[in-house]
Amino acid sequence: MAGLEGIIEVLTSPQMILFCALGVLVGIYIGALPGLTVTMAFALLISVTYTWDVMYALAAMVGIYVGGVYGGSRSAILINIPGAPNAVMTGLDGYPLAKKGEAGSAMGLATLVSCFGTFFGILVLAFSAPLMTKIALMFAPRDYFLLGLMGIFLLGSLGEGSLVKSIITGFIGIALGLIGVDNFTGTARLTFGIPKLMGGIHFVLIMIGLFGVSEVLIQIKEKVEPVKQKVGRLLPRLDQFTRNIFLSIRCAIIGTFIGALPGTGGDIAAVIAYDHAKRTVKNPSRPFGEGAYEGIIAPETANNASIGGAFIPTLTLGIPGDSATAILMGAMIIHGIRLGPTLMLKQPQFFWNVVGLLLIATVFLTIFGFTGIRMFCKIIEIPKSILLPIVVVISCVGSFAIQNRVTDVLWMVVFGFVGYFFKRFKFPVTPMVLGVILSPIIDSNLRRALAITHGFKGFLISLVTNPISLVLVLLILAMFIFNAGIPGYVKRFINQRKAKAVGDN
Amino acid sequence: MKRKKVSAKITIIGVILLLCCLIIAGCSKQEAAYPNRRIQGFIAAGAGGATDLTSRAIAANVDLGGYLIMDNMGGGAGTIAYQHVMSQPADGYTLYFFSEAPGLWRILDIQEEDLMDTETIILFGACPTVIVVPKNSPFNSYEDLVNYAKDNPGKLNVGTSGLNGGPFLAFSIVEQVEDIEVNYIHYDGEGPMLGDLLMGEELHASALTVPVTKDYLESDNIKAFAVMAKDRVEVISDVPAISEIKAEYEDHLQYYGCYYGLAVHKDTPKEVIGILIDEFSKAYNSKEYQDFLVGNGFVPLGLTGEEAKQYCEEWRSRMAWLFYESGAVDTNPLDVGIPKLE
Repeated sequence: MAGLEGIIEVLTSPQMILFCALGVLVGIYIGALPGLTVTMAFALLISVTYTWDVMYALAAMVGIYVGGVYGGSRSAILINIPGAPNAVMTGLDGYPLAKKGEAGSAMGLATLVSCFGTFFGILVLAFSAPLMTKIALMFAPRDYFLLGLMGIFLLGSLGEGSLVKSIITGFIGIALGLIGVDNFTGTARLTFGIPKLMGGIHFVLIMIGLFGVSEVLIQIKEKVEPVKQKVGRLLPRLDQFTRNIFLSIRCAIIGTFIGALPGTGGDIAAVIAYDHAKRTVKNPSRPFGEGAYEGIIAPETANNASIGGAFIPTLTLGIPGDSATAILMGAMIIHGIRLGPTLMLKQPQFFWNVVGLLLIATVFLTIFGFTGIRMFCKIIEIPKSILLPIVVVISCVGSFAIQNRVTDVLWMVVFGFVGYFFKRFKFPVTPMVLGVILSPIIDSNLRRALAITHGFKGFLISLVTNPISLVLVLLILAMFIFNAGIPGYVKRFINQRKAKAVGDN
Repeated sequence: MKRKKVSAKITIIGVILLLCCLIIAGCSKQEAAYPNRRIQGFIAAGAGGATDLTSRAIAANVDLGGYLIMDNMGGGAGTIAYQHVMSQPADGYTLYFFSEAPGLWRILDIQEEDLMDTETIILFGACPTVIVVPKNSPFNSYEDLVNYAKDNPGKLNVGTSGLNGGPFLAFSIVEQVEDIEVNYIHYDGEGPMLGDLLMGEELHASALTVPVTKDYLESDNIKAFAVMAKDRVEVISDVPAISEIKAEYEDHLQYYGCYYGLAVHKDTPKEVIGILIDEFSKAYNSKEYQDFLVGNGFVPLGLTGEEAKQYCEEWRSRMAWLFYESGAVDTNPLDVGIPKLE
């Protein structure tokens, strides 16, 4: 482990610790505000930090990254508006908890598992980066396609309403995700000749509209009164965590791995982890979707674990693990440092600098995460007539900020109304957001896989001749069999036969 | 009780109006010598890519009284930012930082207007690519690669960073010169494609930017066959230039590959254009920016005004006819107003 002194270098530099700490604090708020994302903060920082020492810029970025990934859970739990795409799943169980007056303990639990997840990701980054890189590179387009397909199977199990309704909204989401100029042919798809649609509709807009504005409309209609929050204990009961320690570890593994894949990030990690929890936890504290602690633990561990994962291919090969690390790489180039394989050979201490900064960020995440809860809890107790307009304005500013386009704000409002009517008629909106996130992954990777194998026949053969693909195919088949309830049919069938046999005798 | 509900609604409306006022208050105008207020630079690509880096690096060196703010507005192959910038007042307060993509809009039927309908301020640099194969590839030379493609039409899997962009443009020329047909696999940028390229199972070849090639050559992950340029590049001087391998490439390399630049609305006042050209030329010539360009494998261009526009026009013509003659597109360039170069 050459260059280990890199860790000590950052741990003993008060300036770096300060920049990193500030980054975490700013990151939490950026993450919590819908529309402001880590990638956007990074893009801003490139200009701001141009004249800084490169290490200070790096410290601030790592801090913002860790804080931002975590911060999305805050608004998801408090007002059912995920602040960032990777917190979409957190709201499913977090908001019901807030409605029960347990927002404090939900946020505490989210903080605890986020810190655990981040730490786990750092460990993997520090000790098995080369191995993880190898495995991550083995993922071919067909495997990303299969991963996306696994996500689609989640649509059914997300239903707050009926399965059919989930599938309908999910597939509308998939269609929405395909709008825009196609990357393969240059053809505009589903734009109806409207130039403004050439760039597609950014999925964060759809998310803000469906969750944010629609929630405001619902609350105005139903005159939801603020729930008095129990603020007695803020630290989560340790047994909530220890009882689910193995779930946390499994989700951390999922998160780190999905983060290390160059084509996927924290949002997909949270989706897969939530699904995993739903399938494996037999006796959740409450049913999933009604405030299960497990429903917070799984996505929050996974999305923070994906940070360490995303840094793995970024630092070892210069292949960004997600959109945030892609911009971080760009920022480093402007500062004259090119992340990639030669950096690992020539300046191994840079790798350990990043590990050290991530450790500092985790410590400050724990500190800021727990100290802010009491104040955040007050947010839901604000009278609705003041809180709701603020939510609307933040949603508008956030959706404008994504691409600096006024049209985007209109789209966000449109999806706000769509979401309102969906919710009134009991069509769940989460599958729709999931569809938008998954559709480019499924679409472009399937087409890539087909192009690589020169057609459908070769594609089918490649699915069973590659070990990773084969495992994924079997997993999907298993999910399909269990989703369709086939084991139940078989059991009943056997019982009937037995009963019949007994009767015949 | 009823009154309470009404007053709650009034409060809601009141707070919305108040907050809207705050937003609008930030948009007031004043008139004085250019520049006297915020200048918005829109980069027609996402953050982190070459368009973003070249634009932000020059913006950091330019002296416009500290008014220049850079934002990314990617999507639609650069058309989204184009339409936005051109819909703003032609006063030089919104700038369009572009890549080579607009040169393909007409021929690919993406949009009718392109850079010819703007005032080009400056072109920063061009970006040559290098033809590479994975380390474990059976191909050991440029000839191996071409022979395989000749024997197996449409079977050579070439990874690209998207429909326009370095690898696709490079192999379009190879297809034309060698009269071969390759199978393009498009990715969303160079980074995502690299993973599949390095593994060597899915993709047979690609074209990478110079600094990335240098990195992977040093770490022994790839084999590099030829630089798509007239001359060798200093940082990887072992790799031959493509025109050394085959002289016929000479004709095609004058206008080729990716380039990056800045344009404004065509009705922008002459004196504003003059100021922009002066200031950006100064920034372009600064040691910091030149170091940045050369250090990252860009070929400095530094063309301004009409020269820049001519470069864009010739590039557009060259690529359109290349695509048309190789059968990549069915649109006759003449039909969309792109004459053939002599």
